[in-house]
Amino acid sequence: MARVVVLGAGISGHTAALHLRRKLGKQHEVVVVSPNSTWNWIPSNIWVGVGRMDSEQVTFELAPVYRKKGIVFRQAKAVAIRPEGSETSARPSVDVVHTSSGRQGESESIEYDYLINATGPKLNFGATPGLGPDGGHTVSVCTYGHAEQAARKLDEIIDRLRRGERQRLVIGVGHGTCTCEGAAFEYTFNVEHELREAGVRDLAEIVYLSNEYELGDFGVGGMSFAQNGFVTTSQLWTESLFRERGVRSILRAHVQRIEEGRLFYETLDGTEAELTFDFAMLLPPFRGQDLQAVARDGSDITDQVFAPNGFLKVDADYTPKPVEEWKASDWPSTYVSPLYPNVFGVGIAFAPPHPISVPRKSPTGTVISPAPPRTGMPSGLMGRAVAESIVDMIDRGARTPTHRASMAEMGAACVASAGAGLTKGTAASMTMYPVVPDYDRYPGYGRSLTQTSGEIGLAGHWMKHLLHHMFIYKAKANPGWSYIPE
Amino acid sequence: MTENKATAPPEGTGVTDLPPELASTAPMPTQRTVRLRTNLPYQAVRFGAVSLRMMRMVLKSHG
Repeated sequence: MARVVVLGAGISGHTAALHLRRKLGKQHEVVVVSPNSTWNWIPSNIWVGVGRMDSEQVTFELAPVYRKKGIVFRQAKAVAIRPEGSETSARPSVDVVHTSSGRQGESESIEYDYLINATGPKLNFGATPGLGPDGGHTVSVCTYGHAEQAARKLDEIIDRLRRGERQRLVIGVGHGTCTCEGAAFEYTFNVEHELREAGVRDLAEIVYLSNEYELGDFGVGGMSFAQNGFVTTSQLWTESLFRERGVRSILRAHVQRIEEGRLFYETLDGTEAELTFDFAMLLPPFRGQDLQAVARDGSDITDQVFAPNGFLKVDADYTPKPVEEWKASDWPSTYVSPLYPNVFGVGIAFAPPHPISVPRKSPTGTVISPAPPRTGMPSGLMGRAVAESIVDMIDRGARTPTHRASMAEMGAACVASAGAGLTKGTAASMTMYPVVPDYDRYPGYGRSLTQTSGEIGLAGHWMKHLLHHMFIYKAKANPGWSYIPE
Repeated sequence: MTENKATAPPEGTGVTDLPPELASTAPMPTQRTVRLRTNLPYQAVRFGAVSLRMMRMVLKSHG
């Protein structure tokens, strides 16, 4: 009997757990550890943040799903892993602290044969003083709870606009090293759409504030695609949308601190400026969860197992190298720890070897460039590949992982909402292949021009709605779930 | 139809502390392009095309 412990029940961890349970015999145990009792389809938090959906529409309780599938669920937060075992047991284990109302604060040690770290990001609001909804001066859409707060705040702004008061809304990222610019883009245009629908757009100024070097970078270094006989770029395409919708932008910016109604930022050229606002939705930078690694003798080996940003080191090439020497092969494909062959890191929890966008610093040394996104479809594919590798290791005695899911060998389909509504909504439907540019395979642009594409329209909104229902259906492990791709 | 009236920042909102509009030279869509974005029959066809494109991407990535 083998026990596989999955830390985290987001897209990557949940996908891994369901596939493990589907493929492993009943004599083996699959345990999921998550501090949250619910599963959240995070891409739809954007619609919660503008009041188009409520939190019940983007979440469901995990426990009944795991009970139905025969997966053991611990509502708890992992605090330490002991990959070499401990002084009392040779079996590796993970220390958890329960978070459910009945067992709040209770500690437990869970032994494992295989461990998947899918703990996602720690929302590092603390990186920028004044950032975030908890004690700060900005709202967020990172969680459904945050998104509900954002929707209430947006309602207040719309009320003020209706009273004839001019308002400035700042939407973007709250630190120079943030990722998920696509989510900030989506929220910007959903808010813009809602203001038009409310008939108050003329009194509102919307400012997109980002660490991107150019609009359309999205943390993936931008995209090029063939359109109407020309090679065009996501920069031109995105700038066109900003101009059409009258959204101003401040790019190459690092937010230094935020006070009530005003923020202070620095740009790549060294300029420091202040911006006042009435409403600000700024995403936080991510770092790995606070997870300690402990050797058998009790010594702390966190810095060997995890990168300095808290993400798990896997089979990537972490050698520091200049942008010109970046290779697709730097990126991991099996997500196995180089130190422990039974420990894996997937989704946001794995440490990327380097960014995808070109890294840049201001004259004062402030890093102002996006971190690489690794959410959605890539996260699901990683979770599935690692699950299938572990199944082969358990059932067939494979000594090394048998399945690969490199971001340099997979594409991504992304639908960025630009306004909700069955007949008036729009969204940008984008595909790119591969996610990480490979200039050896695709000289010049790094990606396939025929398989990288983008278009804006109502069809994209329908697609995003379809994906919302399809992926919640799949995550609930309803009949036929495994036929729905990641 | 989408109203394309928000083409410039509203005046009187105290935007003088902002840098110049970075996207001021980007191409604007024609009214026809904007109309087609929410034209139901056209978008039904585009939905089919986008679905096929995404499915091809998904199948390739699941290799």
